[in-house]
Formats: sequence, structure tokens, C-alpha cells
Amino acid sequence: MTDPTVNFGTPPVREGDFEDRLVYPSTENLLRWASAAEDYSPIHFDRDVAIARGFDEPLVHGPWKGAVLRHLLAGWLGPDAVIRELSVRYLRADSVGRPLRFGGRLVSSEPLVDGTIEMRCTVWVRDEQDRVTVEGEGVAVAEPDSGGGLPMERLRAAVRLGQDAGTFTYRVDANDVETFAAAIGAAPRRTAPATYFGALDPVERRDLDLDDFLQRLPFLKTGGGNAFNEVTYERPIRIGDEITVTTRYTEVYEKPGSRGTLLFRVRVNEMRDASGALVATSRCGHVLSYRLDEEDDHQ
Amino acid sequence: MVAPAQVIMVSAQGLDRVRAAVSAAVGDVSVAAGIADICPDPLVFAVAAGLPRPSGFDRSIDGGSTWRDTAPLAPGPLYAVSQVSAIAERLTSDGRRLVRVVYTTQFTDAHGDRVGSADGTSVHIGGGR
Repeated sequence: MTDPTVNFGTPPVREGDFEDRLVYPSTENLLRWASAAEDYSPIHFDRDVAIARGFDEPLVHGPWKGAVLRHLLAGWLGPDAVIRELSVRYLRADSVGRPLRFGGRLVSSEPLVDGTIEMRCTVWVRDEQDRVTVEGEGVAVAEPDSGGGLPMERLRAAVRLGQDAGTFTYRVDANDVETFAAAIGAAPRRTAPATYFGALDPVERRDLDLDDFLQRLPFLKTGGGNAFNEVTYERPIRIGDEITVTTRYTEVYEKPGSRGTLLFRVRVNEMRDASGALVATSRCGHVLSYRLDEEDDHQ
Repeated sequence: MVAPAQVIMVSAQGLDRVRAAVSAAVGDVSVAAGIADICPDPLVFAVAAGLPRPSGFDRSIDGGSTWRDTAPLAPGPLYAVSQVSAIAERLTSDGRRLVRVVYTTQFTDAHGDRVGSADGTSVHIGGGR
């Protein structure tokens, strides 16, 4: 039995419990799931196998319950929210055909520095005996209205324009330098190749990612990549160095391009050794190209 | 331990399979496509990639799943690399051996940008010596 007429109502505007829903996991539902998830373990549809493993009935797939929670959570939070993370723990086995109640709660709703609203939720599944069989947490974000143009002020605030955005320390190991040198066709030496500064860039290493919301703007992205890279060395980077890199965004600007509107972000990396002495300073520019009069249908 | 990389083609048909499987139970809901549509069962995905799952225990179960989205999905190839990210062992309250293994799969697109990740947890109880 299914409940296809679930009414999700209006999304919550304040912290509190969502309206929970009763769902019946039928054999048909789970066969569809088995095909989608490529999990054909017979314990989910063969009663004899389930009994041999100590259960009374075939078992509901744990990830099916997770998927149902995800779909219901999206409905509870409304169309402006995007689920970024969902983590669930399968505490008890549930039998096929027995009703399950799915619910959750909006625990917090906080504005972030990049202008989004971050919503944190708890979710659960309960069986007929009201025992919690699945519990979990979800994180969703609501993006502010772009207003038809690139969110320049939001971006400048997100990258902390003009301020230190982050500091990271990396060890320069021999195998990393050798691998890098081999990749660019350089001869192995005790000092790193001149372009090695790029391997110590926290943004390239994905250790610092302050503007990832640019990937979710409602505009068609027509291109992007590194625009330029400059470096000034005080001394070569040596194997065995511990380099502390401090990143600061210095420029954020837009200008028209042949494929749309170009968005530039320029950052400076100061690289210092363990004694605090300046080793190198790099200046890197990254560009993204958007067509502002076309929406991105892939989102 | 790291499994060989897999190439997953993101397509409307593929995304619809998971959505249809859930919609059949709860009705149509507009949900932004995410890693959970590509990797609906992270544990099955990682084991299918070639990672080993402990055997010889009295009971082996799926202990949980986590899906994380860091960028929107777009049609085209995704590169998936699965690895064993954590192993922990303890005794249960009744003295049985319990081993928990976490399998993590990272997904990157054709530009090398990380799109998301998924964790599957395998729990093994009793026996296993």
C-alpha cells in the first residue's frame, strides 16, 4: 500500500517539527529500488532467505529509507532550499509491508557570510512500535535571489576581500616534488621547479573554497579557468621546507566578454618558511564566464 | 585501500530511475539532482568498485549512509574513486566483536572539480576470527 497523496504543505518558516508522513514500503517499491540502486540482495525480497538470517520478513533497504527521507526533507524545506548533506544511521531492520513513519525537525536556520541561509535538520524513521529505526541529520541552504545580475557584493563579502582569507601549512616532500617535476618534464633537483608554487595554492588544493556558490548561480556558465599566474621568489622552494601560505583576495570585478559576462577573482598567496621568512609571493587570477540572459537548466 | 576509478555518465534517464523508485512510494517531489541520485547506495557502490567487505562474521549489515553535494550535477561523465576511509573495532556490551568499516567515494567532473562524496558504513558483529 502506498500513500501517493502526501501533502507537504508549506515550508516551515521557523524552527520546529515537520509534519511527519506514513509510508508503506511494498515489495513493488523495493524492487524498483533494487534496480535503481543495483542492490539485488535476496534478503530484501525472498522471505526464506530473510527467515534463514533470523528475520520474520524480507527487510527494507536502509538506503531506500534514506532516499525517502531526502525526498520528504526537500518537500518540508520548500523549493528554495537545496540539500547539501544528508547523513543517516540504520539502527533497526524494518520489514517489507509494515508501515513506517518519517519525520524530522528544523533545528536551526542561520545566515552565512556568503548571503545564503543554512538550515540544519534532524530526521528519523519510526516503526509501528514507535521505535526509531533510522536517525540522521541534514544540512540545506537557501540561496538569496540573484536579482538578475552577478552577486558582486555577496562575493566580495564571501572571499573577505582585502583581508586574510585563510592560512595553511604544507610540507614539501621529496616524492611530491619528484612527481611534479616528472609531470612537467623537469629534471629532478633538490629545489622545486619554478611553477611548484601552484601546488601550494590552498584554492587549487581545495583547502580554501569561499565562493563555491558561484557554481550554483542561475545563469548559464559558458567557460572559465585560470586567467593568469605570477610569482616572485625570494629564494627557491626546497625539499623539506614547511611552507605556510596565507591567501588574500585583492580584486573582484566583472567585465563584458565575447562569451558573456566575465567574473574575475584575483588572490595573492604569501608563502613563508618555518622561520617566518618570505619565500615567494604569487598572484593568481581566475575567471568565470556567464550568460546572464540564459538560465542554467541543469540545476 | 583505493579501488580503480569508475566513470559514471550522468543522464536524465539515470537520474529518473532513482526518483521514480522513491516517487512510487511518496509521490512526486521536486528534488535537486545530487550525489544520492548517482550513488543511491554508497556501500553497494564501493563494494561493486572492487573494495573488499569483511566476511566470516555472524552478522553483516549496512550501518548508514552519507551523501554530500559540493557542486550541481550536469549531464556528462563523473569520475568516482572509492576507498576504505575508516576501520574501527570494539566489543559490544555483551562481549561480541564489532567491526565498523567506512567506504568513501569521491566524485569529480570532467573539469576536475569535486562534485560530491558518499559514505557507506558496513557493520560486522560476532565471530570473524
